[in-house]
Amino acid sequence: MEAASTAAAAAAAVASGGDAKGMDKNTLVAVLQFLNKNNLQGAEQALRKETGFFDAVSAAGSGGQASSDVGTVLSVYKSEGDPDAYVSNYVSLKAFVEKSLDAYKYELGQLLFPVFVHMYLELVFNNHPADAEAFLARFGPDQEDFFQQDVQKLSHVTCPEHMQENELIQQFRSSAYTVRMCRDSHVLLKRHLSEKQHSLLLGLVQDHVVLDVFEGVPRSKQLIHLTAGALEGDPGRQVNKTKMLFGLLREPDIQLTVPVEEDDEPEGDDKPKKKKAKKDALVSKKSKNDPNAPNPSRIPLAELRDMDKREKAKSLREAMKRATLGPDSLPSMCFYTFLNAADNVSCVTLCEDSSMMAVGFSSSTVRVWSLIPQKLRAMKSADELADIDKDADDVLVRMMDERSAEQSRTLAGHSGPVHGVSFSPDRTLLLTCSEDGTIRLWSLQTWSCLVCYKGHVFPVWDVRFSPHGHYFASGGHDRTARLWATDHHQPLRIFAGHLADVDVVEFHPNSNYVASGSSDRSVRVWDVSTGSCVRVLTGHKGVVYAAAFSPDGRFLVSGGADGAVLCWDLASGHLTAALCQHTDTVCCVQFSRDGAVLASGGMDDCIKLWDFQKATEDSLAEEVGAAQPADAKVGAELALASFATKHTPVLVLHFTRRNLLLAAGPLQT
Amino acid sequence: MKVKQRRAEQEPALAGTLSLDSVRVAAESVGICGLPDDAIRELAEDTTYRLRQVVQPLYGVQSLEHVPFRFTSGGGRELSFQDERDLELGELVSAQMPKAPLETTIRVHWLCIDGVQPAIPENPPPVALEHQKQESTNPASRIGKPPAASPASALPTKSGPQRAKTIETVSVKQLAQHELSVELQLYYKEITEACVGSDESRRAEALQSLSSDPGLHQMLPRLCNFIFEGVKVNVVQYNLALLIYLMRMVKALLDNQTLYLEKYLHELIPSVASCILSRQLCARPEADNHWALRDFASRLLAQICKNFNTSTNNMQTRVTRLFTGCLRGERSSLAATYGALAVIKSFVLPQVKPLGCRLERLSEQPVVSPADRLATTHLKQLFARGLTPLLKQLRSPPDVVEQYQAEYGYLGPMLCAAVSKARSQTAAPQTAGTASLGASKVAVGAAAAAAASAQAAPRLGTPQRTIIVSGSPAAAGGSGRLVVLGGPRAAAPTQDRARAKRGQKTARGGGLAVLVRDGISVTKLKMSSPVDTHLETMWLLMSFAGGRSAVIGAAYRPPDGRTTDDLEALRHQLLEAVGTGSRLYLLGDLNIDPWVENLPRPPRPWPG
Repeated sequence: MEAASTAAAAAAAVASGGDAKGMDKNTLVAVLQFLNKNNLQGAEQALRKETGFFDAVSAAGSGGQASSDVGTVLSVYKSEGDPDAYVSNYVSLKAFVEKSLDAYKYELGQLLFPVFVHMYLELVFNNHPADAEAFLARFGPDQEDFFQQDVQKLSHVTCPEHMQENELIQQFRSSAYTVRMCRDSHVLLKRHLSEKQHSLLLGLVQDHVVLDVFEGVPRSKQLIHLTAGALEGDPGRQVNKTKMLFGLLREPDIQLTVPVEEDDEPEGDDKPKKKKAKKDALVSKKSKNDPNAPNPSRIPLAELRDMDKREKAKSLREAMKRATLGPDSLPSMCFYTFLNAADNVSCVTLCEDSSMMAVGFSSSTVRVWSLIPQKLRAMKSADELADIDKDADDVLVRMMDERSAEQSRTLAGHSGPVHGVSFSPDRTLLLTCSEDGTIRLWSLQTWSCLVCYKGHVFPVWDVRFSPHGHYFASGGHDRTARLWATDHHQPLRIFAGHLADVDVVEFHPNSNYVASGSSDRSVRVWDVSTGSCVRVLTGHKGVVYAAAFSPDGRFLVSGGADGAVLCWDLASGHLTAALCQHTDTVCCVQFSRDGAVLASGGMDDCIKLWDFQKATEDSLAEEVGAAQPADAKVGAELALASFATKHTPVLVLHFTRRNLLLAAGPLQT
Repeated sequence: MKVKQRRAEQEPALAGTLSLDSVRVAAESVGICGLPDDAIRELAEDTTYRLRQVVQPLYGVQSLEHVPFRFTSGGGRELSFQDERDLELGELVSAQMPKAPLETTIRVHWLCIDGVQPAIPENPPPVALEHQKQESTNPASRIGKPPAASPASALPTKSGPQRAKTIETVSVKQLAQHELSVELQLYYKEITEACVGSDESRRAEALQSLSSDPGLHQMLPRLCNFIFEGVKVNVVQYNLALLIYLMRMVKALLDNQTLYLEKYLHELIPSVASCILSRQLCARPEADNHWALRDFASRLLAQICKNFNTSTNNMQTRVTRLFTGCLRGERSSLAATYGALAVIKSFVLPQVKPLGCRLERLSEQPVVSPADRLATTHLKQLFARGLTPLLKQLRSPPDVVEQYQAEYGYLGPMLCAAVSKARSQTAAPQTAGTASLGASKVAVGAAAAAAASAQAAPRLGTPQRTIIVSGSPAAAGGSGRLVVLGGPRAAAPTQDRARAKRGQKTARGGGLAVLVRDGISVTKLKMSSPVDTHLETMWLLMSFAGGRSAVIGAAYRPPDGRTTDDLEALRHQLLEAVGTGSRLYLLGDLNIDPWVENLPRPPRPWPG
């Protein structure tokens, strides 16, 4: 726990350092911290109010201190007032919300949960356990469904001593709950608070809720409902304003293609030439300067080796043959069912060229299957390797021991269930992460463990290689996502900010960003280069278990325990579509290679296909930076098809280079 | 925001709090006595909170079976303990070794091809069995719904019930859609040809397909019609072979788990009944085995009745009436009478067990009315009289009570006795060669304290039994033969016992006792004694009647001390014991907590 909180503090420092634009801000931070340290709250709050833009920074700062100096944080709860006032105040706020005009009702309604939480905590802090219990029993059930779990956890806290160590309470304390509302709603609220003389309510709202006021019409009921759900409330207006370089990196020139092609197709000279011409067109189209693309040197990437270039060329050639998908031409699907493994399989992944499948088991082992006729071979022993002619063309083939070929191989080394597996782009390495808190790097040539990365303190839930290799990201129970490089045993970046476990991580196609989905029901996008959080996406009503970037890098799709698949426009941070037709947890989402079709699968034994082109055409048409998000589309009109499996949850979805959909899951008996 | 008005009773109930007594007992067990009440209250509150933090409501620990606790009092304190069941070692030794879990394998299939899901066994059936059932039992459910909703547009239809209401008075008969795709037409042709053709292997394939393929739903009307017409024609022509083939098709369709046949029973039952009752089924009744067909068809009919009998269609009653009529009829041929009897036989036999249950319940009631008792006796007699000849025919000679019991329940033993009696009257009595291992019950337990085992000895040790005790030579004077193993604390057992009584845990003695039933010969195995551990073990080679043997290991490890050393010692002994070549059973109390780190615990403070 300590490590997690120090990590949080470190990252907060990173974040504030990244955000700070000048000396001015830094000074102010110092002053704030001084005031905070000496318990001069009045002055601190006055200063905080005057410099409105400091809210985010100071909130993050106090988050870091929460565990070190709980006393100061808790002392915000003043021991004034009688317990009955809380009930009457809450009732009056509820009545005010319900009596408001429909236009403002839903915006104001979002205040109820944070007020409820902090009223309860104040009652507990001021030693009114009976009143607190009654308050919770009376108003707890009124809260939205997705808050019920938090309410349940809250109910465990019944005396002030508990508050010091409870994670959830610390979260409520450390991060201010943000509520977005339009100017009119704000005015209404202010009038209500002041004219009814609710000093209690007023103090609460001022202390613990950030009111993010914007000009314009109030948000619609549907939009509010779609984006509600996160533990920290709405993301502040400023949070998603950072410019994100979501374009793709320029494809490197591949000069090596011609000889390779001749190798593969020795039948004539005409064909390769034709193909080469076509491919040039394809490459040049991509290499046009995209204004949204990051500079290729923004983060250092590994140089392409000859092998990688050959692989790229092969991939491009395959891409020419791929099926075009759309509403009228649905993909074919091939399903891999695991037999005799009902409760044992915990994660599955396929490598980019669909030749291998890796499965992580609850029994701590990892198994790799070859999906093509070519079997999995191990490298020869050192003595035999010495005999090989190193200048031979097929030295890579000769290195491998033909006698060791097997259909599947097992990797053992973890001491807890394996929760994540990921292939490196060149298919020579495999990453696995486990409940034992370690990440392991395996060689798929020697079939042995190369590195054991120890950094996460608690179980690691997911690990993902960067599409350009070398880097990888992980997320775990310690509420952080981390960026690693394979040649460093310590993480390069720690992305702290989530309020609960990080359950899934995913790399952006340009490797400059990492998305993380969390049990706090939010998705965040982190900048690999600065380590700061550039997008906070809220709307899930349950734990987020799956995430995928669209092939063009502009959109992010996430799926969660609430059965919803949400599509986000990264340019604006707005929700573009909410696809809610799954009846159980969504375990995986995947885009077809051309980005036209989105597939999602989950615990409801079902794979659903969605028309992603239609989902995004509006947001592609509108200019970037529209203040108010267009209404998000809902699932019905975008659904293309649904295919049920036979008692087999879908754990992974993967489009091959030719747009054949592969899926896998264990048969439940 | 939609404010929900939920009732208070739906709120999940909070777990209870720890009682003050439990905290006090826990404190005393670690040697802290006389805690003030305030402290205990504080502790209880805090522990409850911690427990709630740890125990997730969703993943709570629970046992599948009820764990019974028994209470006893001793030393001025109420104790609860768990009764350990006696294990039948004989069964254990002779039982098959449990199978190793199967290896995880991958099976590949097409979930969909160009957006269409193929109807293969790996995919769920296109129309679920439930849906078929609902359609056939409640035809009105189709009204008001769009015909054949495609999966892509499977959205909740809003106005289903209301629309049905408005057109209630209009009698709507939906046009049945029986469009067959070209593939299905081809399939139909192939299947029917294979089923009645001459190639036996193709027929087997076809029947396999009929009994396992999902997605035959669309073809059912045609297949049933094919069978119906086929029987009609072939009964007249005395074509026995074809009739048998057709009945096998019926069997395959009945076996298919994805089909619901009720809609087509009006065609199937007459066909099957024809094959049972027809006056003549083959060209040469004196030579051909048409009896087999009658038997087979009667079993089919029983299966149909079992699957599809409901209170509305009264099928079983109707079918039975049909056959009783046939029995009564003076003019029916003897062959038809055989068929009718065969059906009734297959009805009665499956009823024996449920009926037996009823009788058993009745006889277990404390007060049974005389009329009921009389009825029970009569029923039993009737069963014994009527079923004995039948069972004698049906079952092959070794009559084992257990088998009868499993098959016929309460009435099993009685039937078994009757059958074997009937057999013995015809043939000379033969003695069964299986000697049961009934007497080889062995109770094994690792006693935590020598004192406990010594106390237990007189109670458990009836004169014929052998008691093997380790670590307490004092007990050797007790009844029976005792094999004594010198434990580390064997030197001062009396002292140990005295201390253990005072509840001072640190000074208690460890020991092992193995209680062996008579009839098993026991040899103690010599093992290299463990060095530098507190582990106490005892290895016994047990020989059973019939030359089987097993090695029983009993081990006890006191809770303190280094786990690794003790485990290492145990491993060495295990390796030695494996060398004997017998089956090996290790029992014991190792006091290893899998949740606690593998480190020696710090010594506890001496109380007082």
